[in-house]
Amino acid sequence: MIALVDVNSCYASVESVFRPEIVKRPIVVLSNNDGAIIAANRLAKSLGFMSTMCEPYFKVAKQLEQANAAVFSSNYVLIHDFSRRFHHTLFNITPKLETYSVDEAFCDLTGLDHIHNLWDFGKFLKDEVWTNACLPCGVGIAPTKVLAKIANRIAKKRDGVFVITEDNMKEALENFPVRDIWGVGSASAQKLNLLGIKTAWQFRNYENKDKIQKMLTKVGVQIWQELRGNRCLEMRDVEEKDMIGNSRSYGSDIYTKLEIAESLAEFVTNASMTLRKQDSVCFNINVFIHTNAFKDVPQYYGSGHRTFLSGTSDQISLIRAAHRVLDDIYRPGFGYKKGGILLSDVRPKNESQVDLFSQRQDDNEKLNEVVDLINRRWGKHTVRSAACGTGTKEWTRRADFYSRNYTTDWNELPELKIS
Amino acid sequence: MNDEFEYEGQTGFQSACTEYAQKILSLDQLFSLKSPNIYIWRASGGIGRKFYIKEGDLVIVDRKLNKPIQGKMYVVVVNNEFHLGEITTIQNKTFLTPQMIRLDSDADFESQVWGGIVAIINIYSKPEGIG
Repeated sequence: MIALVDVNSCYASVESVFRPEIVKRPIVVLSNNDGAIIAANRLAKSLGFMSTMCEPYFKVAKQLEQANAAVFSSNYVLIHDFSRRFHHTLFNITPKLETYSVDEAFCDLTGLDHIHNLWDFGKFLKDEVWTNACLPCGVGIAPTKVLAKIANRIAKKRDGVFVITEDNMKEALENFPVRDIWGVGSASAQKLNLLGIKTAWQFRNYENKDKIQKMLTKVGVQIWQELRGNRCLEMRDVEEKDMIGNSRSYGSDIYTKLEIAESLAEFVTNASMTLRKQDSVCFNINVFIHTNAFKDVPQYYGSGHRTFLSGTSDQISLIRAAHRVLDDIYRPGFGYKKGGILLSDVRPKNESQVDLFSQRQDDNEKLNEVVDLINRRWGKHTVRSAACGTGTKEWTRRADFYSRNYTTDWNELPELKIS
Repeated sequence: MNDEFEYEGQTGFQSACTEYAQKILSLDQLFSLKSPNIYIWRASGGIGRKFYIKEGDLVIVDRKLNKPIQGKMYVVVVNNEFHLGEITTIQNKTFLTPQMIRLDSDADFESQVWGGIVAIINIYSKPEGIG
């Protein structure tokens, strides 16, 4: 059996852990630069004026204020720590864990033969996550991943736990829309509708495998098999990335090349750290910058790339290359809204050939090692290239409603009243 | 100050203590600071005379210790504030002391035990070389 555990309104739930006074209020969390609403608790959703997530904040700011809603910028530092607590809790209980996303995990229960009652075990998982990570969650348990996803959706509408077995399969699937099945997109759902398949139960009982293969390819057949209780989607490990990107919308439009250069240096610093962490090198760097397409201002999109004859993970070489691309693509007079870099053609370090005719790229290997060591120990960006800039940065993201880093900063710990 | 020195042996006389190397004592391990159920708080709002707690002390809290036991110390949420105190029963009524906040079902405020106290750390002075 497989359990899918999913935190309820994760971003909003995390913000209320040390703020009990907001638990019974609507809570919303905003995207980068406080642009759009990306998460909301049940109370906020029930207000009714946010048609979908991603509603621009400025459009509903007044209504949220009138509803006494608590508004937060995305605090990725805080979310990351609570995500760690969530996954660590499940890791301690279940034999194999797949960290599917920041707030979602598949647990393979194979081998847990002592579990006699899966409903009780689901409740146990839910209680443990609440105890350790202070987060409410839903638990769906079923023979396959696709069915566990469906069980999880049902769980969230009930008391937080739902188990699908052969005995209640019909009850679980007969009212579950085929478009809501994990992996079935709206185009596939339309094709299935044409065959008269509207529910997961109808899809499961459809007998023409060849037709499914023809219409929905191999992926469709896998989903169909999983609905029938046959495991096709196995537990996955985290794979090394073959492309590493880093980009950001700037807090306000920026005009100078220096500021863009500083932002690119920071993006490269972040991406190259990931590259070194997985012991890889890249052979190509792409850089792009562009203006705000939603504003009535002169528009420009610039991009370019540099290749490396020998693969590199050296942040200084990569920053230098990004800046050379910037020399080519920068046009003065425009207000730039977004910039980014992408490290591609990523290969394991020990598989990359050294170019005979160029100086070896990773001359700074020791330096990078030391910098990574310091930053791992004392915090990200403790030591970084001066190219990232040192003064106040206009381009950093806007976060007017940023909460405290309660669990990761000695100066921002939650306070306990003594008397 | 580099506190990451690793003792790898000696170039001169063989040392009789080489075989007896032990792990360096770690408060991280003692208090399981990396466990998902452990949280660090800071004491604020005065002097907790009863427990010798001072403003600014670090309080290590275990969320798993959430079943109140008479005489033990807990973090309790009362009226949307986090309080530190001892659970005391007086004449069949449960109180958080020394605040004397009533915690049982007949209390005026909603309350909830958030976690139990593992340790209180008073940092007298920081080790030399630590910023």
